[in-house]
Amino acid sequence: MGSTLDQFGSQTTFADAGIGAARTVWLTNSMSIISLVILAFVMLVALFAWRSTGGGRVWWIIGGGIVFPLITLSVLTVASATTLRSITGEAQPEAPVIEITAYQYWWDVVHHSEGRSLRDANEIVLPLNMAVTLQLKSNDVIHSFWVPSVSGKMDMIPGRINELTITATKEGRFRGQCAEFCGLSHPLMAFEVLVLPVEEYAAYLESLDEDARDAVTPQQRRGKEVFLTSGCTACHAVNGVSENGRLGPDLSRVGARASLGAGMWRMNKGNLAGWIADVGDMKPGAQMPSYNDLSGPDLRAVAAWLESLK
Amino acid sequence: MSDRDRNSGLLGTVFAILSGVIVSLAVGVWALGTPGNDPVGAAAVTAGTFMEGKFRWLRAEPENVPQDWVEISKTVRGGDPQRGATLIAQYGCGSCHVVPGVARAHGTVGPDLSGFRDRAYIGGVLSNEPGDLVDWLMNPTTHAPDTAMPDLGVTETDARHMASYLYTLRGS
Amino acid sequence: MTAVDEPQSYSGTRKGEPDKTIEEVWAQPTGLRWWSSVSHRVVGKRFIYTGFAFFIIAGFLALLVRTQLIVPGNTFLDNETYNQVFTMHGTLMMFLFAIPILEGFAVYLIPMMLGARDLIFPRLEQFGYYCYLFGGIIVLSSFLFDAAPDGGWFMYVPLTTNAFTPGVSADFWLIGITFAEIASVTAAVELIVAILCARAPGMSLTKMPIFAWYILITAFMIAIGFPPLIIGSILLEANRLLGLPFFDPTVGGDPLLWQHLFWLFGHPEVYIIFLPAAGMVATILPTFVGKPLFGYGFVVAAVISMGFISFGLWAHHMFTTGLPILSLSLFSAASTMVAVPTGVQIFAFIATLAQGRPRMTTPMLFVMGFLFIFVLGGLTGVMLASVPFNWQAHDSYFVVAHLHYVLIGGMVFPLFAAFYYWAPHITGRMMSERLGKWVFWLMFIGFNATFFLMHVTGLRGMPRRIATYPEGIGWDRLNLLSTLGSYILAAGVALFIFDFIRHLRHGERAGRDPWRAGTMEWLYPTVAIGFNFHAIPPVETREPLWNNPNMLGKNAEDVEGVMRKMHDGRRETIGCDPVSGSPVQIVRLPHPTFTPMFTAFALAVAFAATIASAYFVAIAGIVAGLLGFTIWAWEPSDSGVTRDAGMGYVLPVNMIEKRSHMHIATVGTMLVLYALLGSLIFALLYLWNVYPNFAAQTAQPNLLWTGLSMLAGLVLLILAMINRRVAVADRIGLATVMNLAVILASIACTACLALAIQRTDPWGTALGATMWATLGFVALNLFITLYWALFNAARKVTGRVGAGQSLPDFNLATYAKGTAVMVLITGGLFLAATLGGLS
Repeated sequence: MGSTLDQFGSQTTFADAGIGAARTVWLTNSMSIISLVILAFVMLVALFAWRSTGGGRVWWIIGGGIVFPLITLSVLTVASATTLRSITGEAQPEAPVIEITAYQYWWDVVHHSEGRSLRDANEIVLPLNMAVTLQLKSNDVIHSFWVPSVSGKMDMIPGRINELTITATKEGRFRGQCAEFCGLSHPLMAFEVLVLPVEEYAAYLESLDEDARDAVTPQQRRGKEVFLTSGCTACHAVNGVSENGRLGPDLSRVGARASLGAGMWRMNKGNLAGWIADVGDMKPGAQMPSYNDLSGPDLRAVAAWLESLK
Repeated sequence: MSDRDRNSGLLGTVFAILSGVIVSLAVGVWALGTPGNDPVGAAAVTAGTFMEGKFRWLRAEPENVPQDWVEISKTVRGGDPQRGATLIAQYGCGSCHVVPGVARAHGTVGPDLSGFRDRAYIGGVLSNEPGDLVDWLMNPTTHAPDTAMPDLGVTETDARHMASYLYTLRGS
Repeated sequence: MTAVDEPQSYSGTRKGEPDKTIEEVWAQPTGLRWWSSVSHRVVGKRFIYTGFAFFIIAGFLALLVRTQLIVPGNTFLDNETYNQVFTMHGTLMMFLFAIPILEGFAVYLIPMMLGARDLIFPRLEQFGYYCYLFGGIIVLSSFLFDAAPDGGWFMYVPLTTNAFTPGVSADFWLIGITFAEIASVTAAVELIVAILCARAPGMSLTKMPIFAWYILITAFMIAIGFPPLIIGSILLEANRLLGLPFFDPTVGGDPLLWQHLFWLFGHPEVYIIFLPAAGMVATILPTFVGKPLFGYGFVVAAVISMGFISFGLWAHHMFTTGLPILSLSLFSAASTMVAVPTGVQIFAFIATLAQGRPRMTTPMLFVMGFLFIFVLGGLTGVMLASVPFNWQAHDSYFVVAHLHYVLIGGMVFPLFAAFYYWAPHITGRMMSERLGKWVFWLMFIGFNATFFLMHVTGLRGMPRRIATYPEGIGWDRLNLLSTLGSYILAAGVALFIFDFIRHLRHGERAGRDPWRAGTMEWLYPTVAIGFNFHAIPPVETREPLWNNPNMLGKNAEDVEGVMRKMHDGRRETIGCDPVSGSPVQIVRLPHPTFTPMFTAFALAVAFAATIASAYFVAIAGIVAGLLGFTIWAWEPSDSGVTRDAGMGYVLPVNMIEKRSHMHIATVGTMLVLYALLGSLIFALLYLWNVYPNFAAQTAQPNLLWTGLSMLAGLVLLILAMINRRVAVADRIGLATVMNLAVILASIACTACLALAIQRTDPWGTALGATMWATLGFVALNLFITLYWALFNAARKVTGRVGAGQSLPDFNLATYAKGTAVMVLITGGLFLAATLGGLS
């Protein structure tokens, strides 16, 4: 049976969609195989020892307990250190900077490009084959940024900025998830990573700088009106519509995202309506109140308008 | 320990280890399978269908017994309940409705759809029959202009699948 | 030293009569008074049974976790309940099961293995048990108030500060667990002293059973490893109750400070859990091979080095927090290196197998299971030490798999081996071999089914501590299988409980030494007597029962040894030189009493009242606790006499010198206190280093008062030394005066230190708060010094101290010197801050 999230792409570490993941996975595989071989070896030695009555030998202890570990561990340490170097690499001062701030339970994303600060939320768009520096911060508790198919994780700690250099090497969508227990809806705090070729990435940045799409149909216009008059603007910003809301995710491109609620539900009118009407049931502990006093048509209108913001 | 005992002990140990390895491998293959690629599950379904076919003669009713008209009236032409369950999840119905058997469908914005089969009305405005249900799923706002349920752009084929799933939800 | 031959009255017991038999002197209290027992066998069994009860509760919580995760999107537990359940599962297992149950076995076995009639401080052990019991009850009671902790067993800040966890759930954890930890720390000090000071004649350190080495090292690790957590918990609780901003980055605090303190404890903790279990394996395995452990010296060296190395690895739990590359590399290399002493032990065990023809019994099955599971867990641990791999696997189910492999493989399987092995000793009956095999295979298969594929689950991207997961990512079947496996594992444990209860009635009665073991706990027929030895035999080898014809060849009562004669109708055992094991003193032991229970209860009331914010009740509880300690210690001194211990030894009772068990206990306690101070100093230096701009904002300590405090500290040091000299010389009046001088010096030190940082606002910066926390800790020690000196003076003034009874002052002097050095260190830090500038 297919998944409601199957359009999000992989979330496995056994992937090579990024330099971090690709260079680590060979380490994973080789260490796993070697570990199983060592386990089998130890059990065979134990079996042999069980059946033998000739007495133990000191060289077993020295060989198996000191020499063999020292050799294999030294090899492992060197392999890990070289892999670590190749992943973290040299600092890339020219690399684009994306500042990601984690909140309970969503992700604020700001692309710094050519002197502009372009804000988005919950979806991180990356250029293909270009190193990007992520500046990871937190607004409240400790979170962790992990997109397994692309890179290893880095914690987001209030009061600190942790930098993670990430280079995506495959186009497509990948799913990431918060990897540090952060409260009630920690299991519901995920995100998307969308890797685009460099030209499309530039086009994406341009779209962030522009106003959001106009409302076209009467229903969308009604939805925009409801958005402006129901208090949504206190927390949410939409370019060209309301600029001041910074407490919640930026909604300028919400309809273009593949997911709603930080990587958890498909982006469509149905989920949008359910979210607005009762976000407390879908994501307990979320800061957003449930808007269950909108009329039916108004609720549908807001959902339709938000879905149109592509 | 006699030779016979020793041999049967050895045999037993070999058998235990071998069967352990085989079972572990089978379980491992199954567990490591990715969604949509379920040879073991497919085999189980085939075996079940086969068995059901073999024993249908035990359960078959004689031809001339009148069929229950309620049974007929809740059949949706061209509808596959399994596909319907997936579509219900994909269209996002679960964020407003509780729908038994659909993952993460526990919304309390709209009515609970448990036991939907036995309801008299749909949305309080239409009678609960296949044709009306398919219409409703495709265009709820036409039948109830003040409803909060959006027009989700459901195609007729998808609506048929979803309706047939909903008709499997019997009240307890 | 003049001999005083008049037996003095002794609180809590009948007046000593020289012609009482050993059975009468050591009789167990009956009826309700049984709860006042201080016998190590009784208290040890209590620890074991209570620990097992927590194991079952925490295991049940684990089944709830797995049931919630059996299918994606499950609604069996809502997020809030799930968070509480997994937090309590970890907390109960790590704090209220693992260490207490191993402690219970140590408490039960060590005196018998080493040739002592009881543990060296039986009342302290009873006190520790009740602290554990009451602390555990406090933590469990949080469920009743719907306030179970839900921040994870590791309680990371800022999630667990008031801003994100309002209400009392975190306080239940912080206060309840800290209270229960008192049991572990007191047991640690007790076991160190017991192993060093109360061994059979001739049992040098190298002739000790290997289990005693494991416990000795573990006890040292507890003494040094628990303090960082205790300090961290106190700081976090002070943050929650008083708003002191230790972890608030806006005023120079750091959430990572909590992580450092926690993992400074947390990593040694897992070795503290592993080592006693490995010691059990090292004891059980040779028994069933019929030959001694191969490579004893290697194993001892490995255990000691593991004890040291384990303190240098903690940051491998923090590889993803943004540590500098140099730190990452150092901790990574060190973490891999710990595999070496581990490997030495494993291969020593394997080599022992080759010494003879091993017998396959249920305990041996569990030992083999330990080998398989723990080695795999150790290997995945080495994998996790690799930083790039760690960046993928940290906080994923890979780590959950690893930790359960090392903890269940490295501790639970040896524990079950120990259950089957020592059950005949504890209950007098054998458990069922047939059912035991079923228990083993159910547990082994169930465990691997649950946790083996979790390695894959984690590497497929499933993070930890998530109440639910979406369908279709590739985790569905893996979780289903893990859950089914957990039910199989639970079935194994359930079968074990059934067998245990069944065997109490229907188990085959065990003869003497049913497993043909070599260590001395099997000398007597099982469950025979409560005082372990009619006469404590001298030992010449590590397996006395195998090599000494004196032992098994005759009735246990007739074995030749020391201490056969009762003196003054009092409980006592032989005290030895810490290294050589030759007898140097007779150690007097207490008779059953309720005082430790009362004291623990008073403290429990104080802690519970703090959670409930009933502060007056809390203060009353602390005062009652202090009263309890006073009553406990107010007893006639036994020093100043010599008695004939038999076999040509005429020894002083409770001797007054550095090797006295009471003095070594004082030194051991100072070790703990210095570890606590060290943790606070770590916090100070860390915050000063990480946020120098906030450090600069903190008011500098006053130079004059800092200088005066160091002077006062020096004075205290000198007074303490004089106090000892004078007391040992039996100048009772002068010693009383010195006690009063010590009191005054303590007050002076406290006042000067407080005045030194009077201008530092504890709510202003995190560094300022930590300075006040350090002051508070040193002041607490000064208060204890003061109270102790007052106590000693009072005893002398009321005429209860005779000649040759200066042990309390002897020990006070050591404690006061230690406290004085703490004052000097703190003053020195304040001085450095002022002179060097805080920025």
